[in-house]
Formats: sequence, C-alpha cells, structure tokens
Amino acid sequence: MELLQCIDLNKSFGEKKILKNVNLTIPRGKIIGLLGKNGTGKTTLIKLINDLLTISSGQILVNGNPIGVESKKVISYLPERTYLDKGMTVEKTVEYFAKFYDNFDSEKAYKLLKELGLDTHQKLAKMSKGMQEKVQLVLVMSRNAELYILDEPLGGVDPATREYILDTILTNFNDGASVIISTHLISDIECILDSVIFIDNGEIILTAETDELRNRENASIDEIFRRMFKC
Amino acid sequence: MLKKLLNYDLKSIFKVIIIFYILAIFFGILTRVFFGFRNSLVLEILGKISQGAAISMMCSTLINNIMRMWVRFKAHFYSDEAYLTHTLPIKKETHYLAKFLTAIITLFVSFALVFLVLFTAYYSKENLLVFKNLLLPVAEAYDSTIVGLIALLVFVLFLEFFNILQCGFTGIILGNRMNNAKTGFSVLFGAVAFFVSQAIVLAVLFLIALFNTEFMNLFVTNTTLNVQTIKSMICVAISCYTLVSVLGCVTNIYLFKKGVNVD
Amino acid sequence: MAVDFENSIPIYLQVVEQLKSDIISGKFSAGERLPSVRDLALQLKVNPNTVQKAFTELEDMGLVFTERTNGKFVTEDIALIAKHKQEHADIITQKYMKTMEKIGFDKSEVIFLINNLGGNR
Repeated sequence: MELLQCIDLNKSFGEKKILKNVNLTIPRGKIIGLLGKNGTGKTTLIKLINDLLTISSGQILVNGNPIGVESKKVISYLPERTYLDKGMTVEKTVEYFAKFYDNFDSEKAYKLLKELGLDTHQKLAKMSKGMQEKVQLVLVMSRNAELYILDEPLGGVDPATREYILDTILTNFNDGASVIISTHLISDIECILDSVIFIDNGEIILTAETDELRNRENASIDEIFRRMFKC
Repeated sequence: MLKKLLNYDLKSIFKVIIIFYILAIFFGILTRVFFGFRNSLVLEILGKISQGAAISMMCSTLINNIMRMWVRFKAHFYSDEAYLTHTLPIKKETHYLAKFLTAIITLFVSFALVFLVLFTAYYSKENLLVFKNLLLPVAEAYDSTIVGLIALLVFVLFLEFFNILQCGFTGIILGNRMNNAKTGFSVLFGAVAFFVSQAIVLAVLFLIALFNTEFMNLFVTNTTLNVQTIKSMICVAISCYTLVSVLGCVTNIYLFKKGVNVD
Repeated sequence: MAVDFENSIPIYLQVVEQLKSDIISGKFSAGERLPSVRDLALQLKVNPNTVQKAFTELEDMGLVFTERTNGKFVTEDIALIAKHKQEHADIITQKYMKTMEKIGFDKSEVIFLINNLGGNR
C-alpha cells in the first residue's frame, strides 16, 4: 500500500482552477521536494492532504484510506504560518500535543526545546515569530509520524536558522517515514532530497529522482528548475 | 477526545466571562449593602448606581457568553488556529459536539449566575412576598404554580439564547463556505438561520391550527382564548422549538462534516 | 566532516568519493567499523538514502562489507585498498600532467619542478 496517493485531484475556488488533475504517489522512506514558484498550488495541494480544504474532484488516499482521523494520525504537518494558540505557554502547547497525538514524544520535544535554550514557561505571544516557528518545527518533528509535510520551512530565515531547521528535520524524522518539503528555495535543500516534484500552474510537470535528474541534465536541480521556468 | 476538547473549550470561555461573573456578583453585593441603609440619600444614589451596574453586568455576561462562543468557534475552525484543529486526529462531529456542549454548559452557568446575583441583590422576605403576589394571579390563571411558571419562563429564555447561539454557528459554517466576504456572509446566514428557525415554529403552529379550530382562533380572532388552549399551544410551541434546536444541531454537524476551506 | 557538495553532480557519487578517499588515506583503516548510515547522513547533512546508495556502490567495489548485525566495515583486504589508492593517485596524476602539458611542460620538466618544490620550501 502506498503511503500517499493523489488520483485525478482537482481543486477550484469558484471558476478559478487551482489544481488540475494531479496524480501523485509518495512512497515510504523518501525525502521529497515539492518545488514550484509562489502561488502555483503547492500549499493548496498540502492543505487538501491535511483536510483544510475540500476536494473538488478526485481522491486522496493515505495508506489506502481517504483523508480522516486515520490519515491525521500518521501525518505530521507544519503549515507555513504560526498556528498555535498564542495565549498558551510552550509547556502547555507540548501538553496539548501529547494529549491529542498518541505518537507524540514529549521527551524528545523537551530535549529539542532545551537545545533551543527556550524558557518553556513563556507564552508564545511573547516570543519572536522566528522562535515561534522553531517551536512549531520541534513539535511537528517530535511526532513519530509516517509522513511529515513541511510547507515552506525555510521561507525568510537566516542561514544559521536554515541549518538548524535542516538538521532538525534530518535528525528527527522517523525511520521509514517520508518527508515532503515544499519550497521555492531549491539550492538550500536539494542535497537532502531523494526526489523532486515540480509543480507549476496547478499541474505536476515533472517527478524524478534527484541524482538521476542531475546525471541526465548534468546540472543542479536548482539550475534545471530555473531553466524550466525561466525565473 | 470529546472530554479533552471540552476541557479546553470550557477553560477558554470561562477565562474571559469569569470577569463579568465577578463584577456582576460584586455589584450585586454592593446593591444589597447600599439598599440596607434607607435613610441616606447618598447611599441610595450609590445603591441605584450599583443596581444599574449589576444589571448591566448580568446582561454583559450573557451577551459575552454568546459572543465568546462565536469568536471561539470561528478562531478554532476557520482562522490560523484551524490549521491545528483540523489536523488533530478527531472527527468533525466530535469537534462540533464539543462546541455544542460548551455552549450549553456555559449558558447554563451564566443563567445560574444571573439568578445568584438577583438573589444576592434583592432577596428578603418582603421582596419575596411582593414577587409572589405579583406572579400568583398569573400562575393561578393558568392553574400552575409559581415555581412551574418561573421554570417554564427560564426554560424558554434558555432555549432562545441557545438557539441564537447555534444559529450563529450555522452562519459561521455557511459564511466560511463562500469564497470571499466570509464575515459578512456569516452574519447574513446567521440571521437567516434564526428567522428560519422562528418561521418553522410558527409554521408548525399554523399547520396544527388548520386542523384545530381552537388553535385557529389565535391566528384569526382577537377574542381571549381559553386557558386550556393556550396551555397546549405553549406546550406545542416549546416542544417544537426544542425540536428545531436539535434539528439545527444536526444540520450544523451535517454541514460541518462536509469539510472546511480554511484561508 | 561536513562537506560542501557540488549540486550539479549526483550527491551519492560525491559521498562515494569522500568515503573512498577517507579509506585510502587511512582515516578509516582496514577492518574498521564505519559510522551508521544515519550518523553519516547527519554528519554530511545529506539524505540517509543517499548514504545507503553510496555504501552499496562501495560494497560493489569491494571496499566495504556488511556484517549482518554489526553494520558496515572497511575491507580487510589491504592489497585492494592499495590498488584503489594507486588508481586514485594515477587519475590525479594524469589530470595534473594534462594540465601541465597544456601550458607547455613535458614530463622531465614536471619532475624537475616537483623535485624543486621540496627544495624551495
């Protein structure tokens, strides 16, 4: 059974078609880059997988089941915005995750938060946006999930933070799990990707193994992407 | 899971309205204290002020209770926080049910508080007597007791508040299905839902009246109806309204289960 | 051991090169246990699958072998390591010679240069 499968997936808002006939299979144990310019449908696809949007037509299957409680148990999702209750302290937030997710590892979360040098009694509202994003990443990576979906985890962060984020992802994803990272900053992450999905204008235009693609085109993924989209 | 959700929901509502609870009780006590001294003009004025404050705080409690529920509903299901809510491994109907129960529990507590404040401010043997004499003729006219009458009134009031609250939920659910002007549509659909719920009750009464000449008199004449008719009519109306509220809940769950589109 | 990878060349090949040079230089000695896939992936900041692929490549060359439960080890065949070392040196030398020939040096002049390099130090 495939981990994630999208079959003839469509999403439109009114007349506007955001995703057009997306067919996609995500196997287990891979790190996959979902690459595309801003506003091409990356986030829409991710939100559909996470039940934050209704499907216009087509299907999404996670371990063979449609999106629902079972899929939410195995998917750990990092949105591209701050989404936690800002009135809660870090400690309370960890408690919240532990209560609702059976596969949440509080010990791991506290270990990672400690490495960040964070006061866990502090309210999220009192922290910088960057710090809040790190807390979110820690929480998401502290779940023993089967699929991690990270939406633009590197958007607008400094190089040191970028390194921290990539390290945290590489160190903490569950053995045998897959990771989908959506981004438009390809050069920063391409060396950790097994395969890539290029998305443009709501359509999947290329899926390939990264090393094969490099061999075939004799260029970096970033270069290939730029060539394809002339940006 | 329902219990855990309920726990967080109740805390988040009470965290805010407890301020109004405290203020209402505080002014209730002040009212009583100041009204204890009957021979000082200053104290009497202060008493009147406290009384006004206590009454306005009781109203604020109820209004805030409802508003907070709507705000929480929207924040939890349709704003940034929705990204967490909808990715928790919990069924949509459980999510809705948590809000439904939170609404009932908080409203119940707020109602109880209003009574507590009224009791604190005004309870005395004389006042009770005045109150009794006021209600007794009404109760007797419908050959019921004072307690029965009050219970009925409170129940209808509670139902009304709850229905307003739930129609708000319907409005938010429907409004957020639109592609833009979601807040505007939420208000519009909420108001429509409320009028529809009222219309249904009226329509049912009218339908019954078509087959019952006694009932029909309500719609066509000005003559006083006999007590028995009024009583049965109240009965029908209240059961019908209760049913409409339950129907509202079922409709909301049905609509909510269809999925959300979070911005 | 963080390495800057060239993004235009398959990463696993670069990992193979890196590990190979660590083996022939003796950084990982014959028979020594290699770090686990996961650890190495973290050190190099690459995907574990990439490291796995590189290990497979090295196993095909015979430089690395797997002991089922204990992990991966450098071969104990010293002659094989020496052979790879020689090959590697040959490749680098050939490259160097080509470059030198391009700018007009012949073999004896190059040898002279190399000998002098030691003297000038």
